[in-house]
Amino acid sequence: MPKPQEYQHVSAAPTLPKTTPTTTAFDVADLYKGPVTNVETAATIGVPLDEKLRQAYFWIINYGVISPHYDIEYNDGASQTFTFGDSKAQLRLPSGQSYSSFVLVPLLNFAVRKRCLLVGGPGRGKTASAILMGVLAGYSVKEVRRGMQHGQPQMTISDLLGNPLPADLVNAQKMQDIRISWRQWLSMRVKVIDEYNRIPTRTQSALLTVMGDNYAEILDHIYECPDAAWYLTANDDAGGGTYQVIEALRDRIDVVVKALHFNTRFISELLQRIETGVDPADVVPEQIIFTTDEIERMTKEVLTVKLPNGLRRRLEFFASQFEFCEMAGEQIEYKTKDTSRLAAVDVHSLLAQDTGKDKQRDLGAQTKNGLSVRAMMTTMVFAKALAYFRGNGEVEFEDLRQIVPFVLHEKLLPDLDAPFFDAPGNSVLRVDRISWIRKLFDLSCAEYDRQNLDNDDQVGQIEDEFDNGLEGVNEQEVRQRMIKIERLLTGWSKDRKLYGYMFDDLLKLKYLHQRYTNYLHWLTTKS
Amino acid sequence: MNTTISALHPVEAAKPISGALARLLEQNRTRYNARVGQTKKHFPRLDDAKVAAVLRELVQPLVELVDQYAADKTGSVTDVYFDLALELCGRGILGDSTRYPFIEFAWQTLLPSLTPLIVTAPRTIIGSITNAVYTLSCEPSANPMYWLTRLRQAAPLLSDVSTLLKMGQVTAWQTGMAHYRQPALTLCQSLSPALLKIAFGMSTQQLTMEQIVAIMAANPWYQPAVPDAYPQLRIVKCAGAFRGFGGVFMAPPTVYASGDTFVASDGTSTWLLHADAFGATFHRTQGMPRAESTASAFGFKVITGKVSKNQFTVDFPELETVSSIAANATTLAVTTPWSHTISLISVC
Repeated sequence: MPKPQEYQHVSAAPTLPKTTPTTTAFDVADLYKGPVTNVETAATIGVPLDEKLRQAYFWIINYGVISPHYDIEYNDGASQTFTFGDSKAQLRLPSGQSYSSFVLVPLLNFAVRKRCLLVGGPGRGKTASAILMGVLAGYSVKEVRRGMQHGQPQMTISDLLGNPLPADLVNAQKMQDIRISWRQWLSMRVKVIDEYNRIPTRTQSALLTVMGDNYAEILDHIYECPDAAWYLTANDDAGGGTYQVIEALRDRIDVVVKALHFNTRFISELLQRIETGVDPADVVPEQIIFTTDEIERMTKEVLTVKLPNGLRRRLEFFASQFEFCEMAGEQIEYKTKDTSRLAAVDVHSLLAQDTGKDKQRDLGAQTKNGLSVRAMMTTMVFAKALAYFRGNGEVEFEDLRQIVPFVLHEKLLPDLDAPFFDAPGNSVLRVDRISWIRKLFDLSCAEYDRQNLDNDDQVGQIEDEFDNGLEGVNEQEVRQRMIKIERLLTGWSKDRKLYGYMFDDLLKLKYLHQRYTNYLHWLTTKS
Repeated sequence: MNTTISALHPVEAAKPISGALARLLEQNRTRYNARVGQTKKHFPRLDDAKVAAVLRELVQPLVELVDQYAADKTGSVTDVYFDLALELCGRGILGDSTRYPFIEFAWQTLLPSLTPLIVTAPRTIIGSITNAVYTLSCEPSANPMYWLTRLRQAAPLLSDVSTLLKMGQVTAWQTGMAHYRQPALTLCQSLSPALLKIAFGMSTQQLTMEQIVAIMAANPWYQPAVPDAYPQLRIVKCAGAFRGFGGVFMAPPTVYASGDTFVASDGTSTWLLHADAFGATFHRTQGMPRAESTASAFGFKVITGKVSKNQFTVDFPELETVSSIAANATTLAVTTPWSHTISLISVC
């Protein structure tokens, strides 16, 4: 953590320097570079938004939230690792620019305007972090505080959304005559719900509508909310709130980040805050405050970041591991964990019946559910956001690997009784969900590499062939392609156990076969 | 820069701060004290007396002007002045014993004339002016005094922040920052003739400003303020010096052409040389250019001190023994084994 400096100091660009060829051209704008930092001249007005986002990150890290952690690790070449204690705890010294998830993930959420849950014990800076996000969006601290919804057991829908005007309630002849006084926070571009697990269940449903569908409804009146970045906080997300969080609401949360502990070596900074009496949120420099247009532009720019095909394929392979449950159905399409969930049958017991497979290798055996479409979409959006934050136009492997645990934290439920967790060294993963998901991803990638799928993806080849279109493909060619699919299925049925990643491949092959069948039928009818 | 321009006397029996600044300091005592505390954490040697002197001597008159011009902006502008005064005192850039006296001079002489613009974008203007004077102070070829004088002269004509910044950039080139030449020439197109006249230091004008800019673009040695009626082949500039005397070279350099610029090396380091009628600047670079074309390719001939181009031939006895020659379309660069300077010769 750098030494305390003036709150108005913003890290000088470039915050993540990249090697660029030496140039002999001089920029006349350099005249205005000097000891006074944060001078907005014509040259700096157009500072790229990813750079501004990084400057915001470093300002928060330096002055806003004391989070001297670097748990999102990047390496630029070799790095050193040290091992301590009987548990062989490892300390890695990353050789690249690394980040604190507690600051970075909410900031990425700000950039893509999704829904972020901050969990952790009291006094860890969850609310402070959420308030800073509101200030970054251009609101004053007062506005953010007033707009913040504090979860409490007596909270009603009216408390959350607004009230019909009393005079109208008496005089109105029809519903449309009743005017609604909507709560101000609904119009904000950063929405903060403090201790959301203390909100009564009925009010949670109203919140779900706002979070999920971006509108509020009272007495047939609709209020359309603007796109916003959401921040929800909870002291304990494992049922420790006053009310059980409804599953649909939990599912709407896109990313979860845990407030890490306070490092007591930084008490001097607390002392400094006490002595100076300055709340960092009050002194956020203007240079890192985003306008509405900038936020919208930033979101669009994030989405233009490319996800290379090879990386997308790895994500597909990873995501395909979890939904399959061989004993959950007879017909292959129904052999899913969702089938067992709908039938209220314990997934663990079904997985336990599934004998003959290597339970350590079968990643699907570690989870109680599969990944939803929303989870996969969110993973890709946040991977793009992380790449964008790092100034890249393309997602890199490490971006995906680092962000997956935070997105899937609430989406992928571990089966804590799975044999995997009984293996030596794995019991700690029952508790540390971030590390567990990262381990899952690493194991999936190792299997992907072992199968050499980057170079030898037979389903991918068949898929590519189909994606070229059926225009002009003759009957003979179609038959050959169908035979190819059938041969592949024959080979698999002889040689392999049925693992999760094969499940989606089988269904894909069935899909392709069916499309060819229909096409063949059309061809023969036509001729 | 050893010139003492500052009128600051931090330790003499000082008058108390008064007026608008005193009022604001009183109203925001806690906040300002917190900022001083923060700055002291970063700059432990920050001297209260020095800060007080800077506030009293430099900031107070400026705040007073802002208060008279736009009272509703006094608070926000004072915040900027206060923050910058603290930061610059902490860095030793403001206050007595500063190595950058022109910055104080800029605060005393230029900023007051920019008050109408300062109230619109205080940090941008105060910070930019401060940084510009700092940059000019660090460049031996530049003349901050000329820059300040010309900008003060132009102040009544500066309608907005953008114009001020462009005017500052063009004037910086004109007062010695030769490496800004190309972008500054482009910026000339966006400034009014009246402002360009001030930037170029012209008192009279026979050609239109478009014509003058076009000539300057074609001939780096053309000086609009000193139009030369009698062209001659002459040494237009002696660039560089021995490092012990404030230059960059450890040994007599050799020179090479690299497009429109020159590259000079003393055997240890290599430097890009940008030179024109207004200055000559060196910037460290890496590698050497490929030997491109000879001086004769541009019409220059050098034979034992006798230099000729087109119809001009002049004897330069000091260049009788040369160690290297390089040229571009307008300029011949010559070095000798006996000198740490590079002689630049052109027709003008």
